Amino acid sequence: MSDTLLDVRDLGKRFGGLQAVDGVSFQVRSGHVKSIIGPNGAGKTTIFNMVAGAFPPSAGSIMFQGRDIASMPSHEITRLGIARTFQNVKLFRGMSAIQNVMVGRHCRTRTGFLGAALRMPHAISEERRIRAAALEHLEFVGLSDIAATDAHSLAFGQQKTLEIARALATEPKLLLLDEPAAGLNTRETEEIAQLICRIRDTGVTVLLVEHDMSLVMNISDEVMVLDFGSKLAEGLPREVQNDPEVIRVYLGAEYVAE
Amino acid sequence: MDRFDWKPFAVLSVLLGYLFVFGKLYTLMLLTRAGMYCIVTIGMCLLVGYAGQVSIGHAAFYAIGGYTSAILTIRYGVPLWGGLVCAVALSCAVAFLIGIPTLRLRGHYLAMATLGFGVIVYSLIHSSIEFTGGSSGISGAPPLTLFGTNLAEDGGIFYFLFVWINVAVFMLLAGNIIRSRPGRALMSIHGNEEAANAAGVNTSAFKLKVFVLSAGMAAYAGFLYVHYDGFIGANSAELMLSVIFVAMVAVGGMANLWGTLCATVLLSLLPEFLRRTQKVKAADLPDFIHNSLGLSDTQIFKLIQKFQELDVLIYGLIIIVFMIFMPQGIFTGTADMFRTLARRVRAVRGKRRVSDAS
Repeated sequence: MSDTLLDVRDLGKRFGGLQAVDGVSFQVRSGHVKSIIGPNGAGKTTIFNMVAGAFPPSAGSIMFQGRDIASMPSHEITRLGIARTFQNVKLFRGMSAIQNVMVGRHCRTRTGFLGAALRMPHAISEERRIRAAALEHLEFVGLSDIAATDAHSLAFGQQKTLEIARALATEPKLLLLDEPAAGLNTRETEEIAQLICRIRDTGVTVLLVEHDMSLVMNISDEVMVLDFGSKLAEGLPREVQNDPEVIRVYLGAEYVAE
Repeated sequence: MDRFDWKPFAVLSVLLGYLFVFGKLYTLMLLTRAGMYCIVTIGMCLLVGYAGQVSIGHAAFYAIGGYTSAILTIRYGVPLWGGLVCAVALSCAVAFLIGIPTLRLRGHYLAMATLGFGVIVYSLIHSSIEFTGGSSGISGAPPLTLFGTNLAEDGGIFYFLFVWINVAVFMLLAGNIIRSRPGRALMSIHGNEEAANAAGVNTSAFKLKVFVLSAGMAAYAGFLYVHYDGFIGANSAELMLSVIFVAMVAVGGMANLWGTLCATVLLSLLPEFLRRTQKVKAADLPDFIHNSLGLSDTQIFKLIQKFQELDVLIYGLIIIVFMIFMPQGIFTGTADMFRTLARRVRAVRGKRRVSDAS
């Protein structure tokens, strides 16, 4: 399980006069949990957006399983096996929790307008499979008891977890989690950490952006530190933690004392 | 797939059956027209209500359907089914061409594009007189026949049935769509387009498909109209009608097929109610109005006439009132209202019982 799943080279993104990401290269190994940390505005989410296809990079390449996905639309990237969650939760308004997860099955199913309108046998059986799979994913993240609840009326922590279930429903090989613990209390953060480990144990590779250092250091196989759009350090959590440069710009002196 | 809900269909059939047997011919005619509008708004409910893509040009697709079939059948002797196929195909093709550049983007570009498109179609119909008859329109379109029966005969009672059977079929198909994969894709676009993309939905493709579908349905309604009435005029492409279609979906509660159906029937009968009130003569008005306003009969007559031209304003007012007080639509909104009312009545009764006991 040490082959490279994602290979990012010389990635750059310029927004007008701002160089948000500048020549960043990194790899994510299959089966690993890799974290990207760094101060606000360091370009972490921008990298996520480019890997997920929300917008194309200005420079560099993004190879996923040997294919360049740098200019692919995001729905195709999702079908290839990269799913994501959002920093500020983006669930579908007006849809129940299970419906949100069922949308995640979209890229693995085929029923079109005609098949659905005429209730063809294959459409009916596929619909049954979609619902069953969505329920399984809800069970996996521990939300099966609120399946019918409107997604937007859920508690914030549940919304974040639901987003993960929706992403898992697309059957990703690589899961991008953008600050999954932001806004959660200690107990919820602990639950998210356990969930991420369980996701990794199912064979899904995880790329994580997170500010909660104990979470990052506990579950990551590898950590990359960004500052002002460039890579500052990369390595095992222990190595990064003790890197004097990282301590200076990001972790702060108190962190070493802990 | 969720179980299909037969109850509203049963209510609808009983209601229409009653009207069919006991209704006046004039009422049937109005409801036939309303049924045609329902076909347009069912498609628009999928587009505007479920996918959240606003079109302000669907009257143009309705007119394209009507005119295409009328011109082909009258001038070129094309059989009716040929007119139907061409009408729907042309409308879909035009929608496809408008949709490709505008639906690739997020935001209300479709509304802008269809607004412009509607105005263009209207003025084209108006100006190309030798082709469309200009402002005098086209008349003499052959009536629709089915199994050798002229549906428009006998005051069009069979047309009434035919149109409403069509409405029922479209309701059924649209309901099936929204309860399955493509329907969820449409709702996810409305819910959050970026997240829909990330969840693997090809949002541009689905927006385009539903836009083309709704344009085809509007053209089909236009076809039904022209072979019912025999006549079609430029007013069928008017901006006002496009706005009314959007209003029907909005008043129905956006993502609500049954709401849209109810709102369409109510709003298409509205001008009739207005016209009835217009027949009120100044002299019929009670004295206190004359006295309090201090106006003569002719002045009041003029005032009434002024109000009669205001159905545009009334439609606008209806939309605003619904958006503010009943954003969930007439269907759910009224149900909610009755529920609250029932709860209040129960509360008052409870209080009374308590005070009686003490």
